[in-house]
Amino acid sequence: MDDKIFNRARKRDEEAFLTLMRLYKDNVYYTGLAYLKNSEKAKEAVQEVTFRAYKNIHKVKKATAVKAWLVRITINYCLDEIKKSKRFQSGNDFTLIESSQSHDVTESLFLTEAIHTLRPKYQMVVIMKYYNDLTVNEIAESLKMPTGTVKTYLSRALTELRNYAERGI
Amino acid sequence: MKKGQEHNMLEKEGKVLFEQNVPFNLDDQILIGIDRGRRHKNRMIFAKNSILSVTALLILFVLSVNFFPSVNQLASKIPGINKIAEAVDFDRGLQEAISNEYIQVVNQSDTKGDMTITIDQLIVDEKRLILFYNVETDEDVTNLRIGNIKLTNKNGQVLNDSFSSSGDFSLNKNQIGVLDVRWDGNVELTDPLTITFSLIEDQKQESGHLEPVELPETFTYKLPIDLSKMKESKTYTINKTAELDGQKLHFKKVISYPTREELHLEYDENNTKDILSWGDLQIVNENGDVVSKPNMAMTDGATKTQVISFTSNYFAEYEELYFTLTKMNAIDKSDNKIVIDLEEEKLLKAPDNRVTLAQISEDNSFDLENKLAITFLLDAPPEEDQSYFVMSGVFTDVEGKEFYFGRQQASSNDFTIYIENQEYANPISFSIQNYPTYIEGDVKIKIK
Repeated sequence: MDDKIFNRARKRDEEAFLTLMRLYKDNVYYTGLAYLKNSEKAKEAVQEVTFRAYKNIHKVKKATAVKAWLVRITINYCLDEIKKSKRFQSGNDFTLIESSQSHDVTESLFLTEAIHTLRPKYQMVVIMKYYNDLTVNEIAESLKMPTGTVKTYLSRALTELRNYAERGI
Repeated sequence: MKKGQEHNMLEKEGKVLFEQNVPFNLDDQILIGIDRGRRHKNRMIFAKNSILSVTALLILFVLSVNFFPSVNQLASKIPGINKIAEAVDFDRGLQEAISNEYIQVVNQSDTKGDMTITIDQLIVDEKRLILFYNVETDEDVTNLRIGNIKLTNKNGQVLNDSFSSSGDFSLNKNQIGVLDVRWDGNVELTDPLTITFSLIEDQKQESGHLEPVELPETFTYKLPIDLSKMKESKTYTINKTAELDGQKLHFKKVISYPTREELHLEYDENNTKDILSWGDLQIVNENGDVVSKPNMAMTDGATKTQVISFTSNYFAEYEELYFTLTKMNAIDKSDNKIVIDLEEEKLLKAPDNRVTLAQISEDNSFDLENKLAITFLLDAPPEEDQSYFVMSGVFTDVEGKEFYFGRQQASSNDFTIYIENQEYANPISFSIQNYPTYIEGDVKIKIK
């Protein structure tokens, strides 16, 4: 992203901030969708993440870190939401979605379900890397952890997904 | 699934998601989010350098509200009473006051330009005034809020000198606004009281900063107070001592006002820990139902008495009332410091390893000028879902010179303080006002 826009957005120039959010709204929306599995809730996530980002944008140090930062805020929001909803309904988290659509979509839904069985920290790195195209370095920086740890998480996540697939199919 | 296959699947999964239609009204959500952000006043603590220092903000909580049938019966006497009851649905004590007709009709308007603000009703007791008002104007008021509130009696003495509530006074059209003014001290309540306030506008500067600017007009109201309707406070003497993990708390008395209960509490001077919060302290009735929770605390620096406010039970006719308490935030007096070296940007001392120094940066953004923002990460228990405002508003340099700061932000896993950007004799040392360490016990103390 343009450094100028970023610097203006950091100072809460609304136009610049709007430009920034428009640039990454898809990432926020789809990360929300991946976690919350509901388009209305994902839209709410866009609003809430915009709100939280607006309050805290001054904390971001450089333009290249914005995307990962937004994805992280989104994930935190989604985890909070999931936690809240669990207080009201338990046991319905992994309701299977019936689908008569093509094989690809079914597989995709299966994979979404599989990702949801991962531990939150693994889920997070998987969604950051594969859903948002973030590099290991960007993820590491955003989560304030060494790149080695991110790689370990990714590799363990993939192992768990493989185990899930072997049990599940 | 073969090794490596899930890797491809994941990439494809990401793509499948991204190929679905994006809802075209996402921009609306963004605009609403920005608007909320703009109007949101960061949860801040304004530390006050006075004998009475406010040590905590309002805790948001909602006790389930049974709508009082008598509110409906009142509707014919006091227009709009249902809406007023709704406007205070966060406070059952105030709702009970209203249903007991402890509310006075005012109907005073003041007009500046094309804006009229009308105060319709009020609730008043010895230490608190709650005004219900509405705003009429064709202008956009989203950037406006009420500020600089001053309440005086007929002799010109100021009532809200030591403390006035710092709620969100953003103006809204088509809904009832609540202006909540509290004070401490013994200034005489008279008929009338005069309240003045001005409007604060967040104006956009050339730099893009939003700058709060006080508008020149002053709204003024002479509020008629029917002193004969005022109800006096009731005092319950307690004088009992509670103990949690060896730390002693002396419950002295409760003063019950129509709008709140005040618990006067003292910490034993031989305690080895500083008590940082009131934890799960609450008031239950004879059936064990929770009827009040604390919503504010003040410390009287001179007598070390803690004055903790609860929602009122003044009008509720409970046979018995008790305090219960099982857990409070507390910290060893010897651990009660966070020390940092600003030059080396290093954390030198903290209560434990859950605090890390994340960032020190100059901050001139938004409404800040020449401030140093110091951000710490705090690994607090996520299940608490609580923002810890860790620092008190005072810090000292290595030579013992005291400084103050008035702004702190906190989320569930970090906190940021804003201090003046100037030279300090390093290292500097902050005292702690809240931290996720605890003392536990099983306390039940009778009020009546």
